[in-house]
Amino acid sequence: MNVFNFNGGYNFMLRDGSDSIVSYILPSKIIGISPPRVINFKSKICVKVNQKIVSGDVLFYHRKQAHIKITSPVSGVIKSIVYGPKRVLEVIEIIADEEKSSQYKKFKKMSIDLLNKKSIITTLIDSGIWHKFRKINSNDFLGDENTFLKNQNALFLSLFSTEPHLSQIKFLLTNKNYMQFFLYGLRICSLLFNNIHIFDIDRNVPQKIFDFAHDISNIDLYQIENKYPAENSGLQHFLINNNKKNVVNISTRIFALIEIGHLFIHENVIKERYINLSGNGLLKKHHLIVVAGTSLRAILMPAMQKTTAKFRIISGGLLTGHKLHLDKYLSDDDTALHVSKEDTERIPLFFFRLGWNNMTMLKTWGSGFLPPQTHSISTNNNGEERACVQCGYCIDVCPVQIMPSLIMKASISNNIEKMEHLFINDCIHCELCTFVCPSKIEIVQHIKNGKDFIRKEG
Amino acid sequence: MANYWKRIVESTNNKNSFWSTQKALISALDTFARRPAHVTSQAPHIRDATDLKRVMVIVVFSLLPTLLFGIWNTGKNTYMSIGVANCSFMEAFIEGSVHVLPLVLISYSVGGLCETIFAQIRKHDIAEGFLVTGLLYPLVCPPTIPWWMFICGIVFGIIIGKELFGGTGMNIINPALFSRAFLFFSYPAAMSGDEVWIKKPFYETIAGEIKPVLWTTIDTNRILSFLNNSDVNLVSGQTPLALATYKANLNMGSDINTHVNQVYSKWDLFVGNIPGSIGETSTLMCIIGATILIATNVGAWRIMFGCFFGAGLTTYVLNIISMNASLLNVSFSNHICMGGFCFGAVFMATDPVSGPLHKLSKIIYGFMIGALCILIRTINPAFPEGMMMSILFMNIFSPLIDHYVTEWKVTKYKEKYHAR
Repeated sequence: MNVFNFNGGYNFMLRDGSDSIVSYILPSKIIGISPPRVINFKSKICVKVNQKIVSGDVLFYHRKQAHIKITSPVSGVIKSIVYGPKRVLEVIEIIADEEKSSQYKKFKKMSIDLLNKKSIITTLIDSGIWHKFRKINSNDFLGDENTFLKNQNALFLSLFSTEPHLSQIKFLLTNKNYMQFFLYGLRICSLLFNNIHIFDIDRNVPQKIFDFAHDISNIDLYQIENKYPAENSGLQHFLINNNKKNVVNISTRIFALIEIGHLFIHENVIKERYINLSGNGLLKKHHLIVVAGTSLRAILMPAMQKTTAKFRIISGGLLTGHKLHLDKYLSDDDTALHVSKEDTERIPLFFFRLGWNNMTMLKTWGSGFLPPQTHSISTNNNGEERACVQCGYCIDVCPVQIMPSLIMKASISNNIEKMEHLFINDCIHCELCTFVCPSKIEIVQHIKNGKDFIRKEG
Repeated sequence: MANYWKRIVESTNNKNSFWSTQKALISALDTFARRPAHVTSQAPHIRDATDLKRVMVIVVFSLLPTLLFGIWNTGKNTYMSIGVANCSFMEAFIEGSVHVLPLVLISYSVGGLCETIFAQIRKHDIAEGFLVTGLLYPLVCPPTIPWWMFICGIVFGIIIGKELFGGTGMNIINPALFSRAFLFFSYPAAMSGDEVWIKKPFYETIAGEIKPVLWTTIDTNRILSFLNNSDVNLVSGQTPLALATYKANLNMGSDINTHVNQVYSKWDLFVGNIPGSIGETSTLMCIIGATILIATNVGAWRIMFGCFFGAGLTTYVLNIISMNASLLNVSFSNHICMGGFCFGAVFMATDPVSGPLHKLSKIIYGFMIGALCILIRTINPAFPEGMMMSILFMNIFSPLIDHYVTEWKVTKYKEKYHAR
């Protein structure tokens, strides 16, 4: 087992994370399926209102990449199709059937020895799992069958999470069924991908996975240092450093493998999704197994604190996640939900205090001199945006050792040559530089803008 | 009171209100007194507790020992100038406050005014960098400087040195040193080291009448007895560097170090009980400040190390090659304790905005400052002190150093991670 250490990074220790209890909630009557949260996802809808569908039917697909299909996890009747601004599909609402009378689309069963790459890809595309594999760094979907088979490829998986309050998939794998699905999914993937790199932060990899990886030649297990952003597949790819041309580096969530395992064992798509709830706005913080597409209101309202304070709902980790509205539905991209109070408290003489409890990577507060301690979550900006003063903290924390502040300046001046010279495409969007910046500059946003500008200009 | 202030802060957003014309100033005061209520708008949803205000506050904290010592030292030397060697601590401190605190107040108020006007015109917030500039500037000026000169300096430094470039973060040179350079070249008599410290007697006899000249807390009788008594030993008031230059020019053929240490012992030079600019004299207090800066990771230890290393190496080489007893012979320990070397290396050179970005360039930058400072001090007869010149000079060169270090890093990175 190779061990990787990396520069920069930070071990976040935050309160109000979820405990290791996994619970279920009853499926709600109406579920909503929304497109993946990817920029410019233009969907072509395949269903009509009041049409009867079964689980596994295609609801819509990507207008430009027809192989990116989204299927329904439940059977029922289409209630409504909701569009957002510019007639972009927002959600398809489905009235789900009763559990007992539920039907499902059956996918062809094949023995594992008879499977080849083509048949696996066809099944994955038809069942709507294919869009859960994303290219590293660009976050693009994979190409269709032919493009995929043309290139070498490598899959990156993390069994852990170091970002505050992302779901710890290890709890789920203690369940026997899920473990079986996972291993079967891993088996299928080992047929499909040239290489699979699995990362964990300690040597306590579940024994079954360890044995399994030992038996199959193209699966490698790695150990990585336990600090954020160790689970970032961009960083893992950077550390393995196989920058060969024509290799497509792919990342996916562990749950996608469980879905694949379920698909090939039970011949239908899995209904459940796995999320974790955390944050100081919730009373119960735990892991949850829900039906895909359940509304956030149904998930969060029973657990939320009854106060008048303003809440922020974040899908994903506290560093890389994005805000959600309570009226939305759970999408496949949401693996963790975080509800926290907006911290608008105006602490008097804040900047003159000793600050034994302040969360900081630097040593300007008393807490910098204490042993690591857990901090409470604060969404406060802790200051206002100022001009860059060249302090160099962003360079110190960068796990891939690029120079964020210089790239940011090149991006602001739209200097493509300079941006590429400074390796803008190596940025893994871990947001640590933005986190640490004392001038409170949105460095990663500037870098993203720079990448967009380069793409636009060709 | 709190409610009244709240109403004022809210009304700055109302265009018709009078307070909207003072928005920059009010929001600066308000966000200083209480943490702003801003929340993060997008990922990352949590932010480090450190911001520029905190960084600047730490620098101000680290400057306090120097300031307090400077106040005491000013008072002590003022007493010395009228022949009183054994004044009490409090007497010296109070007398020093009378001379130093007005300078600090002027620096903050006049400089702050320039800053506020520019912030108001540009519709910006007032940047925190001024907190440090406003305190650094009086500390590098001699206590005897007339107030009008002092005001000219800070106005010039803030406007030409900083605001014309776009404010804190955009300036290419250290504004506090730039102000001092302006004074140095415009009014050399008031700034040069020959008679810096000597306070003129506080009461002058003009046409047979005794008239007060300066503010003082010193007992009038003491001064009058000083004025009437011609036997009192006068303290020369020369700064150690000026003394060294003076002795070297006399070319007496003996070691300069002995001459300097006869007047100012090594211990006095280290503690700072010597004439000089307000904050620059005490090496001990600079070391305390440096400890705070390095422990909190606000000041770059690489720059400080570079300065001392550069100065040490240059002094070593010069000591070897010098044949006769000239300035080249001044020892390393005397060099770092005399003049503003320590203060410059710890507080001025480590200014992040005008300094370089990379770790390697910080060492190069520091090394060049140290080496240049010693060269200017010893080889150039026109300037006894070289720290200001060398820092300003290297400020101009820091982007160049950074450029080459960046290119070097890019090449190294390419070889390591993008070899194919």
